[in-house]
Amino acid sequence: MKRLSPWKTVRGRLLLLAIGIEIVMLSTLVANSLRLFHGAMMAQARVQVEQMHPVIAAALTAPMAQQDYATVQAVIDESRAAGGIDFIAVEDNYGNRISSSGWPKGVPLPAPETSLSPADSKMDPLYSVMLPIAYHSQRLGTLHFGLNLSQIIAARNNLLAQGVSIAGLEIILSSIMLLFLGYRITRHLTTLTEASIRVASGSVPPPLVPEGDDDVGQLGIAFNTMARVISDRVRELTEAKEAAETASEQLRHIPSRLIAAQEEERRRLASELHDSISQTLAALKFRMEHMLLIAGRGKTKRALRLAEEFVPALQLAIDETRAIYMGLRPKVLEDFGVIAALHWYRDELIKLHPQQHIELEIGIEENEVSTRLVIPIFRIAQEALNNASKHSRAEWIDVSLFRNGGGIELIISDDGQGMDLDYILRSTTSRSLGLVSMRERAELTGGKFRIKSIPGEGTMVQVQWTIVAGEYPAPHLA
Amino acid sequence: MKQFMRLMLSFLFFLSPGSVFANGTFTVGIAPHTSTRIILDMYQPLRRYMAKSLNLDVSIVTAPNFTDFAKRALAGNYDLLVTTGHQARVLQKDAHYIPLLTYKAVFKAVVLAAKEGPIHTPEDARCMVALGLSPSSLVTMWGQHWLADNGVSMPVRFVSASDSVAKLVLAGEAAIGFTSLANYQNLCPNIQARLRIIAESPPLAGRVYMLNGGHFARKSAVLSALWSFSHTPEAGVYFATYKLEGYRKLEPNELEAMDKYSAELRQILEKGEE
Repeated sequence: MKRLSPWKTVRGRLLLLAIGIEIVMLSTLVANSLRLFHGAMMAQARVQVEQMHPVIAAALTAPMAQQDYATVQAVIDESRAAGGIDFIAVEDNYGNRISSSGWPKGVPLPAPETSLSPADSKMDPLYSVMLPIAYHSQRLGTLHFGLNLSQIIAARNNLLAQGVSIAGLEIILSSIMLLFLGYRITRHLTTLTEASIRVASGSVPPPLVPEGDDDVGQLGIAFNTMARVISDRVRELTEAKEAAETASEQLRHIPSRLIAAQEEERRRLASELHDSISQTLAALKFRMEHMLLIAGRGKTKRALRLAEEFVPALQLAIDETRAIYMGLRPKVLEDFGVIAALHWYRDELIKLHPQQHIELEIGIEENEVSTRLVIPIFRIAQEALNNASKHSRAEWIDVSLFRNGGGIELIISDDGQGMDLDYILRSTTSRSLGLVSMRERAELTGGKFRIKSIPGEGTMVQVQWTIVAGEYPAPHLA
Repeated sequence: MKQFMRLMLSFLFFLSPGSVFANGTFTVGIAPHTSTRIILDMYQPLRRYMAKSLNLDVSIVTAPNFTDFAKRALAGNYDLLVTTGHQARVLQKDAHYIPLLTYKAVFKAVVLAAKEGPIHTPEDARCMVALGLSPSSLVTMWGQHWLADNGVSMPVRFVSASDSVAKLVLAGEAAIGFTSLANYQNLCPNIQARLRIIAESPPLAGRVYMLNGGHFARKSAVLSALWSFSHTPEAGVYFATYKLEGYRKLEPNELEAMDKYSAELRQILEKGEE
């Protein structure tokens, strides 16, 4: 999985967002504190000016009116000595400097402050003001004085430094806390993301993600449920796909298998004809030629004796012929139905393989078997019984036909040696054809065919048909 | 009509030759006959009126003491001044100031003593201390003459304001004090009630309005402004408050009668005494 950049994760973005907001808020807080502090200090300075001005002006009124400038000088010297004032200067009404204290003579007085901006980092520590000295409406002169704001500026810088330090520390602590909380909160999201990516890449089922009572835990529960459902669906789809592929493969081989089955049937029929009737008839022909030769020699009695031997041979031929056509389509099936045919065939096999025990258990009435299922049931049972009798070396063979709910179920099982189904199905032997034939007969008639065979433990063939409502029973039994 | 008069005065004032005042301000000097604040309070109505009439900034100033006031006046620092007759005579003679007018109220010097005190006659104050405003003050000069006339020799201390004289006498700092009758009458009633006048001068040339000689050409404008002011309601209040009764022209030889005191004043000024 591609690892996300820290700032692309929810945790990283939350952290950045929170820190960003915190920086903005703390900056605003510090700036506002500075602004308020500066405003308060400036207001205090203005109040100080407003308080000082009338006192100094009152002290200067008389000497100014008397033009007693020595007293004026004494007053401003004493006023400045009280502290808090950097300089005081007095001008007469004509702008001439009468006296000054703390400001060099000949140096122009500083311009009075119009405003003080807290953002002005180069703020002059000297806050100079210019105010009139007046009595009633008579102006006696002008008072200049400068307050020393260095303590205010130092306090402001101290506040700024402390505010920035506290804000920085708070941001660091918050970052650590947020990082920890973010990790605690979103760690399961990482697991969830990884699991989701695995699901998206088709790797199901993914490992279980943590579940819990909180939102993420609930999300984990939902994800696990979803993953299970997806896993089940994927498995079912995979099985369905494999079944479809198998069916497709089988369908692809149906023509060749049909031809092969037909050829096998012809071969079997030719073989049986050659091995049985043909041999019998050949022997009978030879005996008849021999009998005719003897009869031609006038040995009638001997010829008659030979002719008498024709009867068993002919009977054998008849039996063999009967066996062949019974094998092709037993008459009992048409005359008495599938249950009777199964009984008959079981008896016939016992005659051929008397060492085997073949149990037939019937749990259905003949008239309950749909007409369309008579021949498939018999043929599937016939093929399965043939396989069990001929190839499985089974001692016990059970055949069951019974009604199961709304359908019919046929089971043929044996205790034989079993077989490797994969190998058999991949081969093109008669057994393979027989298995395919059984499946096709079952599925073509709407049945569900299953075969289970474990080497050494026997084989079980199971077919289930669903009876469609309104299906008529076998017409010959109705 | 009043507006018209003011406009006319202003017109005349500026048309007159040599109409140049220092820095554009018309300075009125008031002799320090009382505390500075009282002087400033007292002359504000006149200042406002003259400022309007002359269309100039008018400034009321005083001095720390009579000597300084006289020196500044002699130096021509004032465009208009109000001072006692002996200084007015010196300024008229020595600095060419022009006498304009004076108050109707009689100006007298008085000798004050504590009502409950032991001083009833000049002899009672013998070997004690007297208080005066300044050696160059008319009332102080008269007081000293009064002591000499009564054969009493006693040291005279000088203080800056007449109300201080009254308070110091009541406080026992001095046996007697010299001040003007007007200043006595302007004292707070409770202080006034605790004082006794043990001697009173004959009428003297009191506060005389003098115009700087350099402004001779503006004499009529200034004089008109002063007379015009005297007819205003503000002036009525002003005269009543300070018991001045209004303006009047100077009597013939009224200033000349001050020559005795003005000669002493010149000596004091020459000595540099305050």
